[in-house]
Amino acid sequence: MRKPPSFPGLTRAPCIGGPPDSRGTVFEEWGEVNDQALNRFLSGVERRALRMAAISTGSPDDALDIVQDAMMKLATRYAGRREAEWGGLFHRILQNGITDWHRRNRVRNRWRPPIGDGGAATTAPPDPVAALPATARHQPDRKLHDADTLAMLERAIRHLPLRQQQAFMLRLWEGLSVAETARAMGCSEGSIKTHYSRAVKNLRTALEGYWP
Amino acid sequence: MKQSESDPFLDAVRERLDRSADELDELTLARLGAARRRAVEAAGRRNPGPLGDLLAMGRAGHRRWWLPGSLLLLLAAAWLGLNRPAGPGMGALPLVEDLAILGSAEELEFYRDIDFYLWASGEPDKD
Repeated sequence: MRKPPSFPGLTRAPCIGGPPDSRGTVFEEWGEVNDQALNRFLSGVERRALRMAAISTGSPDDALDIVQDAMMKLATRYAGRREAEWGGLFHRILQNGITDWHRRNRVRNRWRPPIGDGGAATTAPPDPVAALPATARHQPDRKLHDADTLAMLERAIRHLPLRQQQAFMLRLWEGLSVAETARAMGCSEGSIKTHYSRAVKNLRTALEGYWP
Repeated sequence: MKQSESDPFLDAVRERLDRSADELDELTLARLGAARRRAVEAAGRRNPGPLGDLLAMGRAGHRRWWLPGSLLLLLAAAWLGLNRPAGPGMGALPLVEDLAILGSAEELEFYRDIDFYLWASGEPDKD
């Protein structure tokens, strides 16, 4: 099992967008060694970050934009911080980017004139299980094709409320602690526990019969 | 969360997500790599500070965009006020927040597409 990463930076209450403190302004000392360290760090997180954004937005292009922005913000604003802090800062920036994407999308959809049937797009999202082929839906024991299981999992995660989705991905996939996740999402530890347990419950319900 | 480590359902979810990250296609990986290299190069430059995004345009740049930006916001407000779609709960909308989002540079595509949306929304009425 993959060892959960540790992001001590999250315990320092990073101030995203705020003024860098004395630890964050040592750009004169930046050099090839730091280039390599930053490159190594970003290489280690970029794939999961992209998948996380893609699952949340449902758009691979938008996901890439979000991850690019997160990388650039980390590099230009916080690369001077201690390396141990980068993980926490990156996840906070990334989650802010994903949240902003959903906010912009919501506003755009609200103001976009309804098309065709008068706004059917605003109805509830489809049930991920109902979207499966009929044969699979009526044979829960049947092992789904690999691609189907991933598509189904992605749909189920995407249809979680955003905060549940973020708590689930950061806790389960990134292996962040409750405290680290709370820092990354900018909310209390109690909220994280609630979001996470609800997310697990909802996913179990949505995927029941198709997963172990 | 240690309790999740012994949960077969969560283990399977984690394993499937891991695999999906490992199976990214070459093009996507190349684009990710390019983005990473740009970020690493940018890290060596001077820290722009908390107002870096704004100041990066320079003072003249700020002045250059202030007037067209304000006009764009006013036009958007007028257009949205006249064409606001009816719907439940619309009265409680935070209009200022919406305008700030719609007025941002990323939303230019939205304005470009407005003609299309208006045309598309008017089509059924002609039938």
